[in-house]
Amino acid sequence: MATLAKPHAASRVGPLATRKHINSAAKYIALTLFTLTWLLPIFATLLTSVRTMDDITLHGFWSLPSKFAIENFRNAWVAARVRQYLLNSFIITIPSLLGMLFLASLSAYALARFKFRGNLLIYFMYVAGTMLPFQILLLPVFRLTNRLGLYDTYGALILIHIAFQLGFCTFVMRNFMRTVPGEILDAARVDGCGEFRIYWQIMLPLSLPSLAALATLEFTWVFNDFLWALILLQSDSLRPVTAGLATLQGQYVTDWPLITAGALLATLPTVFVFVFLQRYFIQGLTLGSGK
Amino acid sequence: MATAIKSQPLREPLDFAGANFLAILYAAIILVAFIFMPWMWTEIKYSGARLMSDVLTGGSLKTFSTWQIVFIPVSALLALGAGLWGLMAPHRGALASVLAAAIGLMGLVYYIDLYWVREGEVAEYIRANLGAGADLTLVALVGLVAQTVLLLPPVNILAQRLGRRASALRPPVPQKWTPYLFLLPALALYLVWIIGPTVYTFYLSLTDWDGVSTPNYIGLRNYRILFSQSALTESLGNNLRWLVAFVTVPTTLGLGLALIFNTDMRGGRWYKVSFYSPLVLSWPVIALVWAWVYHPSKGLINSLLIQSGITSDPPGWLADRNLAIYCIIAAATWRQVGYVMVLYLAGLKNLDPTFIDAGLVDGANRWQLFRHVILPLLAPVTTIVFIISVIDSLRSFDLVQVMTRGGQGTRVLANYMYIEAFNNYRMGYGAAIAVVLFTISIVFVGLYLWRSLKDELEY
Amino acid sequence: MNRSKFSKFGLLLTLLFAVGLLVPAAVAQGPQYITYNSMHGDPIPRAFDEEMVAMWNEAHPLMPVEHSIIAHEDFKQAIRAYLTADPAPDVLTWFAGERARFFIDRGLIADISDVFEEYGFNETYAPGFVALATVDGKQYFLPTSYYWWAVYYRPSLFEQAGITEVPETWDEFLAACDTLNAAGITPITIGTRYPWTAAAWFDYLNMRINGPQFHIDLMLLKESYTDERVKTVFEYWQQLFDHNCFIQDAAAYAWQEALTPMAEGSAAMYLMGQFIVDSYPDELEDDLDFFRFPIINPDVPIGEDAPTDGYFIAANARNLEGGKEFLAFIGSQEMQQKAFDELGRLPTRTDVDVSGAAPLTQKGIELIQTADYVAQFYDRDTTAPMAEAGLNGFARFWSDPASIDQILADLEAERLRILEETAE
Repeated sequence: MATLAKPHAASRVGPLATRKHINSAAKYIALTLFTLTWLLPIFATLLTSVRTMDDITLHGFWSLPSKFAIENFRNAWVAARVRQYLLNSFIITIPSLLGMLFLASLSAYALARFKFRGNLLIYFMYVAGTMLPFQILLLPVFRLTNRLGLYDTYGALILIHIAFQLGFCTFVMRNFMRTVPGEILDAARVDGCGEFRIYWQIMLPLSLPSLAALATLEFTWVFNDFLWALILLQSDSLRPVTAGLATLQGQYVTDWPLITAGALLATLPTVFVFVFLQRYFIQGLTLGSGK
Repeated sequence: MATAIKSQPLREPLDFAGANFLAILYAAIILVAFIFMPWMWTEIKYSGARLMSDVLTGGSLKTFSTWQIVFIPVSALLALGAGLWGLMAPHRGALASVLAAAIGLMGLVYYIDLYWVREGEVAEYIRANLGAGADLTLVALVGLVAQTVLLLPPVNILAQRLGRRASALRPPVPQKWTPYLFLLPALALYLVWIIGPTVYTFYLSLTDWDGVSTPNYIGLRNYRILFSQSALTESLGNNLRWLVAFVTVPTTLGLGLALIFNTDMRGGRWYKVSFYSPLVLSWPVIALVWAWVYHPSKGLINSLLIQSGITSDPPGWLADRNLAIYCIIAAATWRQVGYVMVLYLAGLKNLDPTFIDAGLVDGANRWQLFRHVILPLLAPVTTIVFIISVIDSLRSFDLVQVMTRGGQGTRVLANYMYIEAFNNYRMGYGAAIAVVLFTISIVFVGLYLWRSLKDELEY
Repeated sequence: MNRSKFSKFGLLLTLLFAVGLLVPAAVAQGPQYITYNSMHGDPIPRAFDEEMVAMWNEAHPLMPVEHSIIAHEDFKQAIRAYLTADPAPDVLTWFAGERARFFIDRGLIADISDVFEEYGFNETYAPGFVALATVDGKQYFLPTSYYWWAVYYRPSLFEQAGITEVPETWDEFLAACDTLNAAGITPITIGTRYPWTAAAWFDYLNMRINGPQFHIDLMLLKESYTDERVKTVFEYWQQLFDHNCFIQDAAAYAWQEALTPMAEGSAAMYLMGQFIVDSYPDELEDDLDFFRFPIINPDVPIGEDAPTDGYFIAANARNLEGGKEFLAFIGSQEMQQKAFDELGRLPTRTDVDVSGAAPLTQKGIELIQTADYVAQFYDRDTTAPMAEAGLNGFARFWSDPASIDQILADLEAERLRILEETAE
């Protein structure tokens, strides 16, 4: 909005300008219509979440709510346990993030800053691991967690998230760290700093922007995971919100307003992240493809 | 305290990195103990995290802890933050250390409450049954408070000297080991949780494992059965449909939108946000939203079709075997477009404007400019988009699982595998499907690696 | 005073002792509670389930039940994971018949013969149900209730369409469909999103056409799916499609959702189990009745689906003893009476008073008592992998009836594969 385009100001005279105006107006209208259609599913969800099923049955989908049924949210929050599911999601996501960022930045530092045997091989192993369909890990990981006594604990999910996202995080961090000029590090090395000290006192602070972008992106990924929660947990009381939602659909089959209200509540944290950390989020998305 | 230290400039400089480092270490120990060790009794199942969750939400174990347990993870996270801050901003090291100690005191409230304040049968039961995690946490919290002694100049200097002495005594780590030491923790985890299981899947696919009994080696029988099943053809076909849809629709639409929004247009930001906002939604949420859109009698599309009088007999969408898979793919595409758009926008931003200006000077029209200048310049992004689309389409699982559970002819390989393994208890057979999925994916992953290998070698 | 001081001191000593020296021993016990996973997600059974747990917890504060309710379809998917975990949940809901047998054969279900012995269940339960619970002379499953299947309908809609008598034969049934269609009412509603509902149609058509013996042989994989008799079943089924009997887009709905058209008065019939009343609107319950699935071949004995539900204890259970006590509580006369009174589920015990039952329940009891043969249900009578393939096949037939030959060929291939695997 601040970037008011120059051509607009320049071409404000003559019939050509009028045509241009009409053109651009048409373009805006078309674009707005398209965008609104695009967002229609979200509007539908919002609309449904504040109504009752009886209301929809009686008056049809496209009608104003006869009553603003805010209790759908209350029911989803308490009775349908979205409250519990959300808490679980945070308990799983936060340690996962810390773990993966720490471990990945360590390996990224090694991969970006040292020439050694197997460097490229390890790097490629991480990249390949990121891109492979993780479904192939389901059975052995299920077996492994069972063996380790981790089945049906938060720990099982946290470990697999850290391990699986390591590949992507390492990939991104390594590519970022390679762009840090070597002179800065060499200077520190000359000062007699140990490698580990260089890592956390120079490299980490320099990497903060990319760490932030990565953290934002990974937050939404881990938060939105569904499959692992489905496989590695059995207690309803441990389920993160994505898996909990799928259960809601099974239990409140005929109550779409409640389900959509639950879905909206479940989305709040990621929307929050998106709204306030949008820059990092977008940056994170492009980081992975970048290089 | 910090100022007091600063007023003694004559001594050798104080270094608080040790204190901050200790704070981080203790905070990490607390987190690990809280999540991976039994807070009560002896099973990991009863970790502090679990007890906290139950206390907060009135779960079944709520009586076995108190709400003060919330202080434990909170103080660990805060101490972690304080320590990191101190490390990265060394001139604030002393302050960070004090902060960490104060945070440690907050965590100790749980124990103070448990041991000195609370009385009664329940408290006694808790005290008697506290597990290893709680004990370790107590030690770490005390350590968190105690690390402040390093702020005292004599102790600090002593510690520094001891540290130097110790590193002098320690046999020097050969330079060439350093990278491996950095890699070790992550690599160990990766080997156990990713590489090992991948290999193990290959083994399982050659067995008749049913999830309970020990797997028996049966050679290639799973594969022989698999390749004779119409279910495999169905799943592969659906994956292929998904793939074709993914490399065409979101790519063109995303590129088109990126080209539109790349110009400085009024309100462009809001349009952009609208298109990439679906990216923050999880797949299950998208599945629910779209299931409601497709609902045959009350959903968005059909009520629109009926009320506007376009048709009185609208299709059943997910209920229609011929349409169901496309309905699901459409929902997936809806999310993917925003992603592709973001990638192209970033690519466009990095384009050198001089090329475009040169094209304009040559008198090229818009289409020519796009076709002969912009598109070739975007080729690297297009390759990435292509590969990401392929990989994402092979991974698809969640939407199908939530929307149709693989019914209505919508199975993709991942669902087929999930159903066979976890529904029909044919784990070995499921592993065989996973191997097929792996084999297809590895082709594209290889393609990507080969491409980046060239870049890497040039580097 | 002195005494209490002394005992406090003693307690403190014991505590110190416990904490200081016997930490592992004191800790090894773990919490004393019972984990119970159930699949009663629908509101009314859910409320009953929760009340049952509340009653137990009231009476046993030191051995509470930790209750997880998992949505029905999720539960069916997840149960294998539950049972192979260590420890598994203590008590679980499940189905009698082949579906329980499958786990019993794999040693995943605990032997509860002592519960039957100690609480006299061998005498108080109807012999048929004790037999259902028994494998090789030991009891593994606690059948607690059963219910009937029938064609539920709204008499007022029949009246509106001008149908005066409920259809008893196939021709009458088709005629009723036509009459309803003519009156603008969808004859039959069904939700096949989870395809087991369609299996009821297969069960009944097969039993009515080919008789219960053939049906059960097919379930036990002794007969072929490419048999002409199986083909006939689908020909009859096809007639229902030809007469436009079923609701449109059935596959979009779960069974509960498919009740909506019935409640709205736009669909008249629903082939469903007795649990239909749980989700049927209360205010319309006066306008709900059922009739026996119409007779097709009068020469074959009458078979009915009457699935039995119950509970079992996982072999890996942590709290085996507690689980058994809870199981005995669930299987007690009081609880079965309560389930009968509140949910209308038929008791498996012989000492439950059924005289005060609602007329519809009386009718249901009669329906079962006048049947010549009682089957469980398709996915409870046949083996688990066959059931999965069969249900998918029915769903496929539903959306693509023309491909029936291919479907049956696939089912036959699956049957042979399973036979081959079990033979090894």
